[in-house]
Amino acid sequence: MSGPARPAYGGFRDAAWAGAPWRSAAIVLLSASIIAGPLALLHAATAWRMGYILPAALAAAVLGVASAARLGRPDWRDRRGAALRAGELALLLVALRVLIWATPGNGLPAGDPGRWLREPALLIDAQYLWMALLAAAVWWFAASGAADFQELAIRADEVAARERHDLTDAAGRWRLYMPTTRREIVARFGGRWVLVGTAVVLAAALSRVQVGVGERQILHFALAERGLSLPVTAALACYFLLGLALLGQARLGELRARWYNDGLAADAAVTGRWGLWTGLAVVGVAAAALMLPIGGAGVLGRAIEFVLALMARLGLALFFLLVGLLSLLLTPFRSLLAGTSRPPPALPQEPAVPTQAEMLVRLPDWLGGALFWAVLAAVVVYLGAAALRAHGKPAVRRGALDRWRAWWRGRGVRIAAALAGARPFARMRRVQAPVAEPVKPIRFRRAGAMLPAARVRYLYLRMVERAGAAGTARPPHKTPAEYAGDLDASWPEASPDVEAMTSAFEAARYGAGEVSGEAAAAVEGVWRRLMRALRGRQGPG
Amino acid sequence: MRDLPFYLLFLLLVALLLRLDFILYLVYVLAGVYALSRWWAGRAIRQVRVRRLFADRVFPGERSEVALEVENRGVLPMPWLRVEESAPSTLGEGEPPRRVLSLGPRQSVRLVYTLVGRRRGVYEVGPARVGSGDLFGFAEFSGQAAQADRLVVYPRVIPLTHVALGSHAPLGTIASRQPLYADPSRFAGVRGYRPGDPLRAISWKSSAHAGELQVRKLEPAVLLTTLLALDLSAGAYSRQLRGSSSEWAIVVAASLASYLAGERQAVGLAINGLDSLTGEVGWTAEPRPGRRQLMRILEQLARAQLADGPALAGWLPGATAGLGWGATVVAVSPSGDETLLAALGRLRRAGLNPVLVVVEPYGQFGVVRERARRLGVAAHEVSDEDDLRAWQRRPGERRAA
Repeated sequence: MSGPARPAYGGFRDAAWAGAPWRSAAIVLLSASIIAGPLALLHAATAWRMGYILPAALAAAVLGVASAARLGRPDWRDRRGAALRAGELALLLVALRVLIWATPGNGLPAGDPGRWLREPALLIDAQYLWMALLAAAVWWFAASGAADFQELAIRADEVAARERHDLTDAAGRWRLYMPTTRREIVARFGGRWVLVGTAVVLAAALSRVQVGVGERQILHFALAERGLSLPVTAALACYFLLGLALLGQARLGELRARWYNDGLAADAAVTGRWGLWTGLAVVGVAAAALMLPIGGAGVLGRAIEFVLALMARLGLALFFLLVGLLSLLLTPFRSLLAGTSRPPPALPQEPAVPTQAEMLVRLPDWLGGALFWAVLAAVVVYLGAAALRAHGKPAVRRGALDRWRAWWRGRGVRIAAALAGARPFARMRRVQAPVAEPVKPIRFRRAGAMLPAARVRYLYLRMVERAGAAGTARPPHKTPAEYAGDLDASWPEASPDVEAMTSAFEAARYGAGEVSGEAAAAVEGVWRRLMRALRGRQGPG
Repeated sequence: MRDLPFYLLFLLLVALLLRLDFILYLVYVLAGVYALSRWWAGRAIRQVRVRRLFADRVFPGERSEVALEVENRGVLPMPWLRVEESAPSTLGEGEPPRRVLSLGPRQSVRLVYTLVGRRRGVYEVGPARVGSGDLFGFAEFSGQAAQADRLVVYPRVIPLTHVALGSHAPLGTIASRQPLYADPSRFAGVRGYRPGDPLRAISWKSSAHAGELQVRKLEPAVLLTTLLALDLSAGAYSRQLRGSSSEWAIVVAASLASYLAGERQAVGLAINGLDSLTGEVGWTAEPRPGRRQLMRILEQLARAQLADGPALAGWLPGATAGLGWGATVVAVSPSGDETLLAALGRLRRAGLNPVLVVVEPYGQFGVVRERARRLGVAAHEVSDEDDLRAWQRRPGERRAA
């Protein structure tokens, strides 16, 4: 069983693709430029001081790109991406709140500090709400774009499948399930770019519209001025030209993976000159478009305006016609409705005066605010700590937090199981009953006192635990057979024992037959050999 | 990105309605990139020409270097061009080229690979498929750029120096032991006159020179108008040896054809097997002399495959109907069964010179030979190369120990 050492593909990273810094920079700029449209709209509608938003948007974009890049690394595949991203977003929003307050002209609301307890809504004013939405949108757009480019990279299983053609090998079965094809990823990126671009353009265009009330109290719309301001124009140009360049890069990512999987050798000139050709095409078309008669849009615009106004008037006429017809139809029923009399208007009531007893049991008015702050702080701290921990920087001591998280996850699992059942409350009681028994850590159990099947499972899990401590952790998505492949690759001298242990575990865990005591004893012998071999190994780091 | 045109239309409406020149400019840029990409990719792929240059006929063991010339004849560069050549895997020395290239205007690239004539047959080389597209994913085109060509791997030819094929034809170029067939065109010297010699045989110049009558010595010779009748009826071969024996039969036929053509004889071929190129079962090439005829025969032997066709005994009379008197018919067959011998006997009676060559090893071949002898048919067992060596020695030369 102990053949030649298998190459380890688990740590493969398509560095040639994923490590292009200029692409990350382009995504950052592209993402930050989406604030131009909404900002133009807010600038036209409010008098807020928003000088901080550009650096904030850039920071949000950098954060999104950086987290997507880290989550795409092989050793980060098993991290909880949702928790990490939620934590990053929470930290971003907190930092934005502080930044807005720190900006001159947007200071903290005046008043005594107790006001914060009584009125927690002071935290979220309209400006913060809008800016938070913008920053979150920038962060989301950057993270999504960067994640799309990470997904376009060549994956470890594709490398394994190309380099190992032996389908009878367990590694050959790693092959190639990709829930989303690369073509779909490119289409997703392009669709998002188009959709967000539409919103940005629309917002920028609407910022030029002046809404007012005319002499006869009729709402009317007018264009404040022709054209857009220079920063908005620059941001839109940046968004669309960079978007086209990135679309070309996404296309390259799709093609190079397709060529790789089809066994085609691509010349270095193809990938090397791709950016040049893309840039030339975009810049050439952009330069040629400058020479087109742009200003001739006025006549067409007026024609479209006329058509739209005509359609609106026709729609209104149709609406009034339908209302008239409906009222004619309802005329015979008017006598029935005439008998109903309106209730007399209610007299204004004096406010109730609380009694002495009510005064004694009334809660203090700051309690609701304090509760809000406490919950908010707990959520932000939890998410922030999760994000920092995911980045490898433990912010708090792990013990208590881990226990609390384990308890919370246990509740979540049981609630989900109860909700899935036909009798939710009965199911909850049933599953809650054994929880009362304290769960021992796995290393304190006595293997000899267990049933044979449980003993085999216990020994296998101990092996997994020790192998993880030695640097070959089992990712949650891997089956025991796949994990055995990992162990063989990094631990070839113990390959027969690993195979035997895995087979025994699969039989005990998934097999229909009973496991005999002799078989469990044999597995224990295998396990002892494995443990002896593992003791000689050095842990990670 | 299929909805990009709708998106552009929407942007155009917004730009026209709100009189925003810059958005109109964006529409120009996006529409321009979209249109340019589609036009560029479609036009560039039409300017690609792929040619395949190679020696399309090889003998076993020879190599044929295949050069695939990919040329961009247009003035537009091609950012990427996918070229996939297909070649028979049994002949390839490595994989045929499957590359992605970037071609500048009027640039050509030569992709070279090698095919080795490992096994007799007619093989398809190609077609070469090309594919290209734009830089943004708006358009992609693919097609067949070079048709499939044929590579003929001739059967193995074992050089023979002397093949014992008799003939009734009195004139020819192959020396015969029978003085009856002395060829007046093959002068072998002079000898003294003996009574009974015809007067026209006297060489008057030599007689004058020697002072006594001298008679020209002529070398006996025969002309072998030969038809090689190759039995490729699958049912004639034993099941276990079917593959190897039929290939050996083709090698024997090719070697005989090469020998006879080398002796400037007219050679023809009749096969009751399958022509792998046309799908025809059973075909005949009339006997003709010359190297071109030899190459034609070798090519037909390269194409021949076993088939569930008619048995040679039944098919042979029709195939030999056009042969003149005295022509030799060499039946290359896995066995000499009674029906085949009877058919050869009938050919003998019709004035032809049938010869049986048995290519499968047969323990009681002596019985076959004796039965054939009684019918006036020469029979040879050539079941391997050792048997063929008898035809590689001059008459009188002994087999090496």
